[in-house]
Amino acid sequence: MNNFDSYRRKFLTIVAGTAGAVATLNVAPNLLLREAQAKPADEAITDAKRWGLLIDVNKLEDGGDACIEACKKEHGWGDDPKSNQAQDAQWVRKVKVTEKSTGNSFSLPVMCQHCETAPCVDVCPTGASMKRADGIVQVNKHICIGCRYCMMACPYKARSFVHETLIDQRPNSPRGKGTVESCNLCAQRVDAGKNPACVDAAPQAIVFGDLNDPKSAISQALTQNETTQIRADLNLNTGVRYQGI
Amino acid sequence: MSVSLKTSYSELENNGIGFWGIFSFFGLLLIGGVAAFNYMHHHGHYVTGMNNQIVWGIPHVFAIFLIVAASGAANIATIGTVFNKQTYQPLGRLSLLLAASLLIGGLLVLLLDLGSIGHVIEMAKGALNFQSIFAWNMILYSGFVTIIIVYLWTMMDRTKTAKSFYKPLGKINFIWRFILTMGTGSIFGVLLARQYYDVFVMGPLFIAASYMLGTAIYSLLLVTTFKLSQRDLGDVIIKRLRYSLPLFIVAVLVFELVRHLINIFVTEHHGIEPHILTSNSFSKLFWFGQILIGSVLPLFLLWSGYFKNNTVALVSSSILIIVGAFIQLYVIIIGGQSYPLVLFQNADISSSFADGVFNTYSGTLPEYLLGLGGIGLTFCMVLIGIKIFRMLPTSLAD
Amino acid sequence: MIRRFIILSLMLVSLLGLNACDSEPPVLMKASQQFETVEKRDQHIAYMRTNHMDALKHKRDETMYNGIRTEEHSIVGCINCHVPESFNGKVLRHTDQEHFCTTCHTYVAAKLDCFECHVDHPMKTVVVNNSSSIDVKLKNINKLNHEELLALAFRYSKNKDISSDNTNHILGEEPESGGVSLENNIKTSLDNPIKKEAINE
Repeated sequence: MNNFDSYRRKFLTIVAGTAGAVATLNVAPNLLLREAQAKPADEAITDAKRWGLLIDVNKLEDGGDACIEACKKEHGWGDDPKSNQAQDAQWVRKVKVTEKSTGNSFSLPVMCQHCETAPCVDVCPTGASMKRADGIVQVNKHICIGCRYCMMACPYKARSFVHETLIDQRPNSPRGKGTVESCNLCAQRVDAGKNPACVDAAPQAIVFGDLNDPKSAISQALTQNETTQIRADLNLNTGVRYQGI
Repeated sequence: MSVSLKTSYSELENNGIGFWGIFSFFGLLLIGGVAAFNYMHHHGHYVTGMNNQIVWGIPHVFAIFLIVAASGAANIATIGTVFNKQTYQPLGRLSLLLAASLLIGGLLVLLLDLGSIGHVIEMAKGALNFQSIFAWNMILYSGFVTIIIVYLWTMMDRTKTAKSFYKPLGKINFIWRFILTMGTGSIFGVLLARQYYDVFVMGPLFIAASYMLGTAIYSLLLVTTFKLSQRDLGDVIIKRLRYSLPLFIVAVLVFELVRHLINIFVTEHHGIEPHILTSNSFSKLFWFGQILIGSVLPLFLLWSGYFKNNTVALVSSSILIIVGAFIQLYVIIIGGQSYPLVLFQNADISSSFADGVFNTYSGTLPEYLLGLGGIGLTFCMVLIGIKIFRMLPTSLAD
Repeated sequence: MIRRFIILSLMLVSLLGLNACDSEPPVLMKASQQFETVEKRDQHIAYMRTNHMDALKHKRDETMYNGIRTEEHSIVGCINCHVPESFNGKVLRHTDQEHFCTTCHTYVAAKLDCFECHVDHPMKTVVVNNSSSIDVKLKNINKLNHEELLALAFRYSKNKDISSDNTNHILGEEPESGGVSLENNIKTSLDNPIKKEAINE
């Protein structure tokens, strides 16, 4: 390291520090209460938090298209060249619902609902389909044998099977042939203190946060608004809730 | 004193082109299955007709067919051991050999269809989720093969120790089979998401089907091997087998009726019944395949005086039953998946992921080859077994 | 007598198989990022020779079940050091013989399972989304552009002496403890001041 570099570095640090201080003062209150704090990389997750999503369908003008694009970009699915359309992986999809009696219709993005009592976790023979302590349901592809039983069990058809050899996967989103995959609430991003990609694509409509914390924005939104789960009759206590359906 | 001590068993003596021709045929099927596995595993499942909507296809139909048959095939031995029917006792060894072979063949197909078969080693190293009925089935299947091996030993070893374990093993086998087939049916029964599966009666239905299918395959095998090896097969045994089959067919029909009635009366499951029973795709298979060919026709052939010759009645009905059972499993496995998942009641849904539409499926060649490979393995094992070991009674004349 | 002679000669002939036991392991491709000192490098090699499998299996469980994502727990960390971004003008994949992992795995004929799912070469992704810092694999601070410098400055604004880093890459996927989110928000709010309420959750 030569002298110029360290000088450059220190100079920038001072500038940045000052700018940061000014910015913090401007937006401080909300930021300091930001709850999805990054946990230290070497600290284990605990069940103190339970992550959840609240999707306000009324505020989603495109029915979730932007979210789907963001998810594709983040995780690298959506382009399985050899698979036919029915074999293509889809982590999140836009479902158009038309009520038979009234003719009303709306569209909503449907992804893994991160159920508390997930049927997919129950039926997986190896335990690859697992729920983390913080409520995120994911597939541990290291031990997934590709039996697709979880796909049979999921009431939301959230899971996809990878039907062909993949290359150039996203470094933070490994996915491979012969294993099952689904939305994992962007666990890598969440662990780093960021929001899931879909939340950032539609911040006006989707709230992400800790369901266990009564003071979190999502918990407050759940108490103040009428929200529902898809297939609430199955009593799965999903982590993904919807408003306006 | 059991009859097995008095019956003499002998290895198959056939050495000519007949035996080796048949063995090569099943051997070729097996090789075809392994080749299909290689192809599917290397390229990925895009070469199959299975997709994200119909996740289990022809290989699974074959696999579950073989596994259900395995459980029932061991029943002949049980009737002899546990229920003390002397006429059945000489049939026990072949019954157990067939049961073990069928199970291993079915397991092979199931294993070779896995997307990531290498990770099964992780399972062997302890990654097993005991809340999963699938994992329990793996344990039950392996246990079944072990029990059969020990049970066979008690039958074949002439020492007192071996004979003392004969009855207990028979009882263990009997109970284990119940649990195993119940478990196989429950693979479907626990799926609350699917309208066609989420009923408790799937377990008992599979138990009844196993008796029907296992006895049919056993009968076919017995008649064929005895005919080809020129051994006497008396009328008593044929008659017994002939008249036990209708009971099992009726049991299956009863459980099917119960299942469909439950579905019709439970409001949640309303949609699936018209789809299976009256829509074109699966209703034809159900009514013509399972009910007519697989149940009504065999019942008629077995019960009525139409066939005076017991052997002809038995063989023809067995073939029809086998075809019918295959179709029954096809309708259960594929038909059940073809019905879309209901995300919202009383609404039409559509998406880019085949929501709200009936899913179609057509099996591709690799899948059929894989399934047939399982059958190939089964009968290769049976043929080797009866050739090397003394499985077949020398004579079953009256 | 003859039998003993045959058995003995067979055993002697089998000694020829020792030929296959090469005491020289295959030559591995040089890592694209080197340690500062030879001592650190030898330490790393010795550690890896003993703990290669443990590192792969045990640490992956810690990541999957406990969300632990330090540099040492990340296969991306291994790849970024050991696999160059390009080799002879094209991307080096595990199907090429020169790939770091493939060299030994071909030698011992053990199939590589990792790269069914994990990408086998560094992917230089510059992703800027609303709530993220810039994720960039860097080799040299001189190549930073303005935005990256800013992010770097935030990250090290706590008087960290970067020269003591024994790895050359400055920013990785894994964030430091604690401070990143606040800095992210500062950066984001500087860029998108009106979106501040959206980034709170």
